[in-house]
Amino acid sequence: MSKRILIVDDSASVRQVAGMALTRAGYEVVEATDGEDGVSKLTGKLNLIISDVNMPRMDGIGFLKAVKAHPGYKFTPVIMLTTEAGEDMKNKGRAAGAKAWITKPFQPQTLLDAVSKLVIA
Amino acid sequence: MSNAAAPLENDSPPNENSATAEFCFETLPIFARQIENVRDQTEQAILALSTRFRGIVTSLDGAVAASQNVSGDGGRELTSAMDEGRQQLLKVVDALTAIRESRAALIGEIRSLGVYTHELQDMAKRVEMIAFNTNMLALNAAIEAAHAGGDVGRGFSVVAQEVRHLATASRETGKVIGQKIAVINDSLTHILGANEKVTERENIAVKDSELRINTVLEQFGGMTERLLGSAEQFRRESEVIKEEVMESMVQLQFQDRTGQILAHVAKSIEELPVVADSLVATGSAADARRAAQDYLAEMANSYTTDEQRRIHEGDTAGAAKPQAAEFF
Amino acid sequence: MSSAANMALTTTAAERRHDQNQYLTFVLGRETFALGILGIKEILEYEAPTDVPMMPPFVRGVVNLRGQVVPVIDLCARFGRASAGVSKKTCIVIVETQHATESQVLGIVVDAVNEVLEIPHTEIEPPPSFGTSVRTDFIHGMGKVREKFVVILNVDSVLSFDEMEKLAGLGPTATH
Repeated sequence: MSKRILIVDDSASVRQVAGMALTRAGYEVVEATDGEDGVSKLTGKLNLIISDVNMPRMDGIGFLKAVKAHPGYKFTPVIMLTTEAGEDMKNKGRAAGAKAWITKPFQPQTLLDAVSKLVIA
Repeated sequence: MSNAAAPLENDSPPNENSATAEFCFETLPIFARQIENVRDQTEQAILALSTRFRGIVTSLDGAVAASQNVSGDGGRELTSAMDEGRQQLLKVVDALTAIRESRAALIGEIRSLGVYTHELQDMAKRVEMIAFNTNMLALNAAIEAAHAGGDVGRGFSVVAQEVRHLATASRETGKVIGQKIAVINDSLTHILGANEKVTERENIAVKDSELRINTVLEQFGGMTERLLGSAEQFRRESEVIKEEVMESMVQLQFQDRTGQILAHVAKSIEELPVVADSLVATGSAADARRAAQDYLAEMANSYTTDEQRRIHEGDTAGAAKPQAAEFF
Repeated sequence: MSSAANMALTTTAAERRHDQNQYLTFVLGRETFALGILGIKEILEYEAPTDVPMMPPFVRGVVNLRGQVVPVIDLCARFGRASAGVSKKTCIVIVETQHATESQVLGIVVDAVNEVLEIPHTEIEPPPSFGTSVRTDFIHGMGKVREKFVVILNVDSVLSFDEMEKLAGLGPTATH
C-alpha cells in the first residue's frame, strides 16, 4: 500500500513538478488548487500534506489551521511550499502547526528528503 | 507619463489635474490588461511545456521498464534459461558418450574372449600332440607285439590297435575342436572389425555434435550479452535524459514567481487611476501625499516574494535560487 | 618229431605268417608306402641327425639310439626326389636290413606314419614293370587297402651292397 500525499497549490506547474517527483518516488498524489479545494479533499488516508501559502479564496495559513482543527487529520504533518521567505510568515506557519518550510523555486530532491523524513506510516 | 504615482509637486489648477487623471483612467487599464494577458499566456505556455516534459519522463519510464525485462531480472531469467538449455544439450552428449562407453566395455569383453579362445586353441593343439604321441606309442607297441609273437604278442597287438583307434579318435576330436574355435575366432574378429568402424564413425559424430552444440551456445551467449549490454546502455542513457528533463521542469518553476509578481503589478496599475482620482479630489497636498504613501504601503504589504520587497526598497534583485528546507 | 611239437611248429608258422602280414603305412611327400612290420624295430619322433661328412647325399647323418649310433637316410633323396620339410609329424622309422650275412640298423625319415594293418598275401599284386615313381627293385608289391593301392617297399633293397659297405663303417653291425 503506497503512502498518500495531498498537495495544495494554485500554480499548475508547481503541482506538475512536485506531483511527478512524488509519483516517481512511489507515493500516491492528490491535488487541490487552493485552500478551500484542499479542505474538500481531506478524505481517506493521508500520510502527509504539502501546501502553498499564497492562494486565492483560502490561503495556506488558513488551510493549515483548518487541517489542525480537523479530528481526522490534525496529526498529519504539513510541509509549506511557498515563495515567501520572510521570518514573519515563517513564524505564522510555525505557530499554526507546520512541520517544515520550503521556498520556491525548489529542487525536487529537497522536497523528497523532507517528505521521507516527515511522512507518517 | 512617467511618474504618475508621485505626489503632486505644486497646487496646479484642478482642470489640468483632471485632464491628467482622465488620461490615466484611460491608458492605465490598458497597461494592466496587457500585463495580465502576458501573465496568462506565459502561464499557459509554461504549463503546456511542463506537461509535455512530464509526458516525456513518463514515456521514458515506460521504455526503461520494458527493457528491464531484458536486463536485470529478465536478464537473469534469460541467462538461467540458457544454462538450462546447455545442461539439457550436454545431457544428450553425455547419453551418447555413455552408449559409446558401454559399447567399448562390450568390445573389451569380446577381446578377452578372443584371448580365452586362443588358450583353447593351444589346448586343442596339445590334444592333437597327445594323440600323435599316443599313436606313436601304440605303433611301437604293435611292432614289439609282432616281434614277440605268440598269444601274448597277439593279445598285446589287439590292445595296441584299440589304443591306436583311441589316438585317432582323439586326434580327430582335437582337430574338430580346433576348427570350431577357428570359426569362433573368425566371427569375433569380424565383430571387432565391424565395431571398430562403427565406433570410429560414432566418435566423429559425437565430437561433431558437441562442437556444433557449443558453437550454437556460444553464439547465443554472445547475442544475449550484446542484448543485455545494449539494454543496460539504453537504461543508462534514458536515466540521463530523464534527469535533464526533470531539471528543465524545475527551472520552469520561475513562472510561478513571475506570475505572482505580474499579477500584483497588474492589480496595482489597475488601482492606480482610482487612487490618482482620489488624490486629485483631496484638497491639501499633505493629504494627497499621505494617501499616496498609504497606497505604496498597501502595495508593499501585498508582496509575496523577497525580490518584490528588495525592488520596492530600491535594490536590484536577481532570480531566486533554491534553498534548503527549514524544519520546525 | 612228435605231433605236439609239430603242432607247436605249425602254430608258430601260422602266427609268423600272420605277423608277416602286418605292415606299417607311412607318408613320403604325397604318396603312401608300406613296410613289413617284422623289419621294423621301432618308430621315433624326429630329431635332427648329426651330420657326417663324406657320405652320400641321401644320408642325413646319425642319431644316438640308447647309446647305439644309427645312420639316418632320406628315402626321398634315395628315390631322386626333393625331400619335404620337417614337420611335427615327421618321424624316423628304425629298420633292420639284411644283406647276405650282414645286417644293418638304420633310420628312415618319413613325413608321417599312419597305421599298422594287415594285408593278406591274396591282396598283394606283383609290382608293375612301369608307371610307379620308384625303381621297381625297391618294390615288394602293391597292396590293396580299402580300394586303394599301397606301394610295399622291400627294405632290404633300399640300399645296395656297396652303399651298405659304406654305412658299415659308421656303426656296429648285427651278426646272426
